[in-house]
Amino acid sequence: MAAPKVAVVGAGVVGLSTALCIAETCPSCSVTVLSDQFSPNTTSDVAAGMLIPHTYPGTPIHVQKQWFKETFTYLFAISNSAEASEAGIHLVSGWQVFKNTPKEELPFWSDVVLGFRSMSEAELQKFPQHQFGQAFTTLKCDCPPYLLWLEKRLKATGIQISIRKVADLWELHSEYNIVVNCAGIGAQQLVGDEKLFPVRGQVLKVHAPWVKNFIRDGDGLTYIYPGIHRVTLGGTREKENWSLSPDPGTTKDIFDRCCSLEPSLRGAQDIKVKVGLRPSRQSVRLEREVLSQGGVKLPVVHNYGHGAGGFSVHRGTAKEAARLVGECIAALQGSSSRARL
Amino acid sequence: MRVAIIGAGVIGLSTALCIHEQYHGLVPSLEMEVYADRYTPHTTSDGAAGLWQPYLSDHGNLQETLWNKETFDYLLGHLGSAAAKEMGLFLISGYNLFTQPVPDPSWKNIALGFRNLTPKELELFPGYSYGWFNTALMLECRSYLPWLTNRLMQRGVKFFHKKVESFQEVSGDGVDVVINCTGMRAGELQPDPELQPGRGQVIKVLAPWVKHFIITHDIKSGIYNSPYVIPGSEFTVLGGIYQHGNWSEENSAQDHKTIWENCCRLLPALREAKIVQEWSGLRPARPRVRLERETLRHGHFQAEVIHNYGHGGFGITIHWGCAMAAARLFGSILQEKKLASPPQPRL
Repeated sequence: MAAPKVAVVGAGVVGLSTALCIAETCPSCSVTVLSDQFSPNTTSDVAAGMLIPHTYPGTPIHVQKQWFKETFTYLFAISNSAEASEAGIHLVSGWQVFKNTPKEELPFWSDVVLGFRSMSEAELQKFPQHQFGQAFTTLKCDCPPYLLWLEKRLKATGIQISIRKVADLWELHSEYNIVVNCAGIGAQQLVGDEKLFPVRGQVLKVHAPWVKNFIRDGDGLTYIYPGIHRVTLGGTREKENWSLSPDPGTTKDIFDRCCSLEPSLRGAQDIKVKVGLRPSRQSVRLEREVLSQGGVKLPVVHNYGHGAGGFSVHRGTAKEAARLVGECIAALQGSSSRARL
Repeated sequence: MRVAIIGAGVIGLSTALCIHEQYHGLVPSLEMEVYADRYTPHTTSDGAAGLWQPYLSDHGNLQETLWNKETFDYLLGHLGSAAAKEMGLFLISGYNLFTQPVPDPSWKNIALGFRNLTPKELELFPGYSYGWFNTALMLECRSYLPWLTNRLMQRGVKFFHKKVESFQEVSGDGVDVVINCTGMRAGELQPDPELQPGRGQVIKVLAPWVKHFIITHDIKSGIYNSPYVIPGSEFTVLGGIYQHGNWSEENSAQDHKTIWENCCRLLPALREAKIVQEWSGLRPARPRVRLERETLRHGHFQAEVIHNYGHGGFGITIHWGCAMAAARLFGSILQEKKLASPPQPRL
């Protein structure tokens, strides 16, 4: 099949990175990104973009670790290059602190991040309410810069980007050979996946440029992530809450929780409040499907449901999705040669 | 009792505050004055990035190591306070890089979380095969000096914009104790051949994606003659110049080139950074800090002088330990003058 036409639905970090991987592995493919939302209005733009994995209960740990490792390695190389500031990728060190010592002392990703170790007594003194902690260095992808950089890379490979609200994947069957579904929380409506549910997160993005280290409470609910221009303070995890409107009571609660971890935040200026709906699922849906209607088939690759861990595994899942697209192409070529008999 | 502090850099102002905090309650007649021809933001302290980090080796000078520790612990204690932001005080982590293994520094247990770098971390820094990671503190003097000034003014300390030409000028005016915190120009008040300039130059850039300090070391070139990158709250400071004996406070184009090329090689993304300012300053270098009393006599007058200068490139790092030591010397002066003891009941 000459120049397979691939549509990638979704322009968040998963959609854009998946499109880029497809272009890298299939130079003959003609790829178009379709989305109704682009940076700075995607769910990815709300996230801090910290490379600290979220554990998916339904995915084998070795698979999650592979995705994380691929993502970390990819971003590590960018952070070390002249493009780092344009891409919004930077190293950041800090602490994950626990009020109670966690059951598993070593998370599966401890040997992927840099310099992972337990905090010393002296370091823990900064956190009087916490008994145990881990120090490490990881990467942060700042959005919008990272998404804009991905878009720029995509355009350089000739990929088209179109503003379009896709109501049904089938509507693409006449224009495209393969559809890649990176619609995030939008997949609930788009493909009717009842296993996908929002976990609402409210965050504050504040001006506090003296905060150079990240601090994360081990319960994952309270965190301070310094970005290039703003520090992201979080957060909330509200299951099945679809509201995108900031809640003032929540704002105060997040601010107070973060100030108790880092008192100097009381001096933070210009507080902006954002809300995002984590596209949550027991496991990332990363698989092929063939839609068919009236004898016409449309191969689909799903890559959505990354929940709280999108940035941490995006490149790893994008590469796997690109591989699945390759399988779809091979299958199409196989069936088209059979059709010629 | 009149006390005059000469010099309004980090040493002068912190020594003034330390003495005033400890003794104004004991000596109700204590009057304190600060004399300087340069105030913030024009002092040597203002040009420094503000990173707390002693030199690699203390050359067996345990006293200075203790003063460094005292300063670190004092600042750490202020981190959680409401004043921290106003003081320009915050935690920062980062890297010290070497081309060969080196012994651990005297301050490894003072800083937080000190450890060697892993092989993967060293991949970030081609050309360097060994290094340290630790968390330390930043104390930005363009915030800290105004903060100290405010605390002093609140306490009624008077400030004079004046170049003091001699100790006599101040002591002859009725000042009982002179605290000499004149840094680089101490030699103008009293010759000191051991005090020499360690000229430095820095480029301040906007590079807010840099969250770690990176200090490289070239054992052959000596301290601070190898590139360093130190991110502040507003600007990132690029440096790596130490010229012993060079008195020039003019920016050098050659040094600019050296700093810029070396730092961009270290962190390629710095090429995108916007240059905001360039600055040169003279580190008041001395084999050891001069922190001692001297009694100056001229004619009928006798004045007690406490010298507190010669802190080289580690003034911010050591300042509070020295201020406390100077305050102890002040206490001994008070003892001799019997001013610190409570008034005797009149029989």
